Amino acid sequence: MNTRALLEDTLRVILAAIGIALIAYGIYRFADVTANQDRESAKNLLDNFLAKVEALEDGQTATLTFQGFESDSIWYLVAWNKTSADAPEQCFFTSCLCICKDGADLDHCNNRNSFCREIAYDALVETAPFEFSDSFIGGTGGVGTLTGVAHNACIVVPDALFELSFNKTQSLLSILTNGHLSYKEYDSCRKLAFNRIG
Amino acid sequence: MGFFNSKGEMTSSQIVTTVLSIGAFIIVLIFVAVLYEGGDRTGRIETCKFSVLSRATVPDLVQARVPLKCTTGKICISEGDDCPQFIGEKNVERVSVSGSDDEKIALMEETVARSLYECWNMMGRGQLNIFRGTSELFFGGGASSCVVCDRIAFSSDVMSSGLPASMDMKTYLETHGPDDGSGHSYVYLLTDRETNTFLSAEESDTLLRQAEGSIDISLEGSQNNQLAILFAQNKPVSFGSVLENWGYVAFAAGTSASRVPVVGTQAGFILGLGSAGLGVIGASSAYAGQLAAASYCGSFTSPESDFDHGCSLVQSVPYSVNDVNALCDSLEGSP
Repeated sequence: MNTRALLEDTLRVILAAIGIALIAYGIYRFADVTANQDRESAKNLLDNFLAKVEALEDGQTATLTFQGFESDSIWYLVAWNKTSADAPEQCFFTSCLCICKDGADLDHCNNRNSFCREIAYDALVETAPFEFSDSFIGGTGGVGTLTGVAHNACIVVPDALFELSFNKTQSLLSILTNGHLSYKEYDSCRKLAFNRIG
Repeated sequence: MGFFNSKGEMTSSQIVTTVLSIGAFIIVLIFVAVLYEGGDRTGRIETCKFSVLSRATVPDLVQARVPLKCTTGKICISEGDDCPQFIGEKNVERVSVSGSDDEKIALMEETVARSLYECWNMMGRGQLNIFRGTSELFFGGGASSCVVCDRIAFSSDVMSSGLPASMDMKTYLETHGPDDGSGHSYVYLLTDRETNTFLSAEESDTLLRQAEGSIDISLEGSQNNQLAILFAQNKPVSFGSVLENWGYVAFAAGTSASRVPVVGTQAGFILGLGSAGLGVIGASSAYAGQLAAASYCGSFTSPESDFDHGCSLVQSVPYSVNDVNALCDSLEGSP
C-alpha cells in the first residue's frame, strides 16, 4: 500500500468517525428533547409562577392566567412549608413550591422528574371546596362511590389556559383554584377537609 | 474521476453519495430545528415553522414525539408604560406608539394584522395536519388543538387614551398588506387570493346571530387588555360537527353559504373575516369579534391518516380562560 492510499484511508476513517459521533450525539439530543418535552414545560411553568409571585406586593390579591401543557402524565402544583415534618429533598428546610409528576405526595415530589423552588414564605396551594363524587376501586377503601365536599391542597395543571388566584401577605402565599378533581387526582392530593354526603 | 461518466450520466456511486448527502443535510436541519430555541422574533418564527413542517410530514406513529417548537410571542403596545400583563416574563417585544392619534391607531392595527398573518403562515396556512398524534389519540376526532402564536397586551397609558376602541381591523386588513412588495392586502393573502373584502358587518352579524348561544365567547370577558393570536385546528368526524365544536366561528366568516365545504369534496377557503377579536377593546359590532381572520376547511396536505380532513383558523380572541378554552380543548407550544 503506498503512502498516498494510506493517507486517504486514514482520512476517510477519521471523517467517518467524526460523522458517526455527530449523528450519535444528534440522535441522543433529539431523543432527550422529545422524551422530556413535558418536563421542560413543567419547569418553565413553575418558574413562570414564581416570577409572577415575586412581582406581587405584600397584601396584594391577583388572579393570573397561565398556559398549561399537554402531557401523558398528571402534573400537580403543591407547596411544602419549612415547618413540614417531611418535605422533598430539594427544599432543604425552607418553604418551597413544587410541580410534581404523577402524584402530589412526597415520593412523587422527590422524583427526578419533579421540580421544586424555594420561596421565602409559607405557601398554601388549594382547590376551593367543591362537590366531589367518583367511584373508586382498590386501595384500603375497597370498591364504592365517594361523595362529599372536598377541599384539597394541590392544583392539577390542565393542558389548556387556566386561572389561579394569588393572595400574598408577608408570611403566607395562598394560591387558589376552582376545585375539580378526578378520583385519581383527589386521592393523590393532601386533603384539607372532606365532608361526606350520604 | 469526474461527477459524470463518459456518457454524461451520473454513476451509481455518485447518485448514492448525493442522496445520502441530501438525507444527512435534512437530518441536520431537523436536529437544528429541534435543539435551537430562536431568541428573536424571526428566529422564533422560523424555528416554529420548521417544527410544524417536520411534524406534518412524519408518520402518525411518531408525530406526537416531534416537539412543536412554537413559543408564544409577547408584544406590549405602549406609549411608555410597561405592560404588567407580562410581569416576570422574558422576551417581551415592545411596540412604541407615537405621533398623531391616527398614526398610533394604524400602528396598533398593523401589529395585530402582522401577527395574524405571520401566525397563519407559520402554521402552514391551515393546510397541514399537525395535531394528528396528540389530540386524536386521546379525544378521537372532534377535538380542537391550538397554538397561541402571540399575546398582544395594551399598556395602561394606551388603554387610557381610548385609542384601541377606534381600531378597525376589518378595514385595515382589507386596505393594507404586509411590507413584502406584493402590493396585496392582508385579506387577499389570508384568503389565498380569493377575495379582497370580508363580510359586511350586517352579513356577519346575521350569520353569527344564527349561532347565538352555540359558543360562549365573551367579548367583554377579558379584563386584562390582552389579545391572544390563536391558531386552532379541529378534525371533525364530519364538517357539520365543526359547527358544534366551534360554533359558527369558522363558518361565519365565509363569504357565502355556498362556500361552506361539503364532506368528500376538495374544500377551499371558507373565510373572510371580521374585526379580529378586538371586541374586548371596542368592536363596532358585538359579534364581529368572533370572526376568524382566516380559516381553511378541507383535506390536509400530509401523510394519510384517519383524520386527514378538518378546519383550521387563525383568530384574535381576548386572552382569557373562557375565550381561549371555548375554541381549544388543548394547547400546544410553549407559553
